[in-house]
Amino acid sequence: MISRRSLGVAHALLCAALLAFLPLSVQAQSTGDGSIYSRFGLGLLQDFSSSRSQALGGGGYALRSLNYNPAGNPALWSDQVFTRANIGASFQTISTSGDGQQTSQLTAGNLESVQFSFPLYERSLGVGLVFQPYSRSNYKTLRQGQIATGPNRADTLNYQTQFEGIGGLQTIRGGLGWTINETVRVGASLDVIFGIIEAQRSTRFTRPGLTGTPSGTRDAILTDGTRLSGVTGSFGSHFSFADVFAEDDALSIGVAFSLPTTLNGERVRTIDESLARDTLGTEVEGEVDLPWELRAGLAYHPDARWSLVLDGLYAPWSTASSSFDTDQAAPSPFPVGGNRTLTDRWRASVGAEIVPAGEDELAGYFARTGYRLGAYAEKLYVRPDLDTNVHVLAATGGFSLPTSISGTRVDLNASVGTRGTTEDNLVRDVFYRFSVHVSIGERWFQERKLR
Amino acid sequence: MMYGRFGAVLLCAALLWAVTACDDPSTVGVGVGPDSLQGGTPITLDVGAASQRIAPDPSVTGNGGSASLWRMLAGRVDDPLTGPLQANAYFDVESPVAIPDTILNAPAESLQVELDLQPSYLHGDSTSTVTLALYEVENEMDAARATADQTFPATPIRNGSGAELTVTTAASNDSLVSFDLPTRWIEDNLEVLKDTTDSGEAFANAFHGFRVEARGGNAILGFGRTGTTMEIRRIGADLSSQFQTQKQFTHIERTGAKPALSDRLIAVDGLGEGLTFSFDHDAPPLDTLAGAFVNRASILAPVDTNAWNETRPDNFVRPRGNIGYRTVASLADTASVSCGAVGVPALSDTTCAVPMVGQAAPASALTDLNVSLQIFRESLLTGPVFAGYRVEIAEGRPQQNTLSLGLPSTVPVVFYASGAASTDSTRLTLTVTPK
Repeated sequence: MISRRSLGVAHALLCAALLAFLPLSVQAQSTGDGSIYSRFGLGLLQDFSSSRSQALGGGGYALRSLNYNPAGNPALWSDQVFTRANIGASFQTISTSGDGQQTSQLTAGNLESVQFSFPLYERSLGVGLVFQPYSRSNYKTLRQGQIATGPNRADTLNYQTQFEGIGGLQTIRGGLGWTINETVRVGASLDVIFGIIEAQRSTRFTRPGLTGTPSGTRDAILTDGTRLSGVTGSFGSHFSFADVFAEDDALSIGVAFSLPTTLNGERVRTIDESLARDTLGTEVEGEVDLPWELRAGLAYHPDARWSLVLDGLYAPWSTASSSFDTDQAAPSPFPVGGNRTLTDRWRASVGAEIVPAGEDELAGYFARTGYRLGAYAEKLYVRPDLDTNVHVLAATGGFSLPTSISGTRVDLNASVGTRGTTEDNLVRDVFYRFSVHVSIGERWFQERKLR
Repeated sequence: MMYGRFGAVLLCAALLWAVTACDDPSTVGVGVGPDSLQGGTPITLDVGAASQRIAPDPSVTGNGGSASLWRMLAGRVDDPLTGPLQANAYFDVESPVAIPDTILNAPAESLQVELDLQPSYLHGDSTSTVTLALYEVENEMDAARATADQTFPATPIRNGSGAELTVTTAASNDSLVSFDLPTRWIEDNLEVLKDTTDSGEAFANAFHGFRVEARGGNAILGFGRTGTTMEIRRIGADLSSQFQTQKQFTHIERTGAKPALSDRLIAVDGLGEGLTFSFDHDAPPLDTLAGAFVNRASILAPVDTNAWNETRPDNFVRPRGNIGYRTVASLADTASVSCGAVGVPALSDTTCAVPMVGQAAPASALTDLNVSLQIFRESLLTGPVFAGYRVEIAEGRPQQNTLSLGLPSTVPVVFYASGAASTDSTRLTLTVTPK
């Protein structure tokens, strides 16, 4: 006889397996964020904590909720009732313009996060597991031309030289959150960071008016790949205070700290594509030192309907370094432009959410829907021209749609913003991001009790 | 409930799959950063051949009987491009399965033996009269893959050593050259001719073939295997037996001085005078291209067709229409790969056959693009695959990516001698994308 508990576990494992495979599939068809700024450093850093916090500007380090399991502060994993799985994907289009008024358009879909969490002791001790991108190096830009080939230059071919960033680092984070008392919660996580960042330059030939590489012609594809992996840890704390400014209000403070760490790996230059790749030269081994990161936030709930958040993040990336930053020609130095292109990063965000029905689960559908708005400003940790800081300004928003399944919600988020400037030979990205998140929560690991 | 849960997950998965990426990238962003995105621009360049010369390596002119399209040559020609050449043809015949009794029972004096040779090749004065002498070969000829510098001795005939059996003359443009074998030879060989036992083995052991030697004229004629027969018939009877040609071989030699043309290199088929050259990987520009991507490659040896035409006297014929080329490449001592690794067949432990573009002949010898790409891709990555190349004339193989031997011929081809990379020089043309 299969018990209800074991059936629940089987369901959970099946879902986890399905969710674990999805990222690979999705990333295979992704061309990424499409920002040239992701060529620098380790790529554009990803800050996803939860779909709720994403719509509120991207922080939410103090924002406690039974419907989400935020990854930004492990202390928030302490407050769990349901076994919960979250998965989300985004669809983003970026329009990039340079000083010469040229523009390019890149559109892509990406996995945002796969999260799984469950309470060991309800609302007291919880476990969180997260798989999500740590950084993405995804860009695409090109030059085109014609070339006369053959002994008598009688054969003219078109060529296109494309520079492309592929891949990025992933993180698997697992940890515990513990409710010490009604006021204080703490948490810790072990973060495994791994992945491959590739910079590819491809020169492809076609015959005018035709597609495909002409016979007797070989495309030139050169890839510098960096494989990195390392482990770090994060600690978080959360403090809750009730009746602070008014009766039945609540104020929360959340702080999380990620330890500095060293990623080890190797960098290698290859030619050609996929299975036909040949390695050129020898692999270069090296290390990348990542800085610590501090995340802190405030969350204020005037009543059951409103939530207001204010968050900040700081990481001294100017102290980061890479031993791949060498003078050798191949593979090229990493990060691009060397350690001097790194600078301190900060991020600040605000957000507000209203659920008109508050905690009334019998209210109408739209009253139970969550309406969210937010904004953030960020200084990127890379400074490509060594002088000009690159800033991101964006507005966020979204809807949290309740479903007929208790504990399960579908979140639709959107953001629009700019990144960079067209001055100083830089470019400005205008990005529009839409994302869908499904958050499934049930009591999978707990015996139901007749009450 | 369970369906709802899994339905939500599957819905999410479907949404992810439905997101398809598209892009319209441009040059925006190329200049961002301290090391702006550079490189990847291909260039086309020429590399002149080094150490060009004509090197003799006698052609294979012998065939053991397996190639039905093979030919043999006989005659003398004094071509302004080749100098005086002499070609002597050797061939053997095989016994018919059976010989009619009318012939078997006839005395030697009532029999007639005739050799009929149908010309299929002419090199020389089309108005010339060619004098050819016929000899019998003394010993078994090992004609298979015999080279043109070999000879096989003639049989001493009664009162002399190597004396001819008979002599015939023919106009160089005649459609048939015939030899009537003398009665005394028929008498001496009557029993051999009639012996069809052991499936012709007895005849083959006793008779070793003929040699056709030029005595005069200014033309070399070629005779195909199927157009060369020996026929024995009874005089006055409308009955004969034919002996088909089995082996063929041609001895070719220059009997005078080799001519020269300024700034030109003259290759001569048959003598095996081919164009040899190499490419210096330690000199510019190849020494600067180590590790570069090879996008296209070809080796071209252009032919001076004007010189070919201008040096041709009136009424002088050279078999041009069927000229093809064959390139043999010698593996470098330091080569780390075999012939097969660059997609070419091996001819020996040290040589490979490089396929050619048949359509480029006869105006030029051009190597196949795909193979050239493999060769120079490997050469720029790991060092030279081949130490040198040798372009040979492959007459009779004009429209093939010539790997096989050409038919025996004495045709000349004029190559340019310049070592500099110019439009008239033998050269390697590379389209490369520097690293």
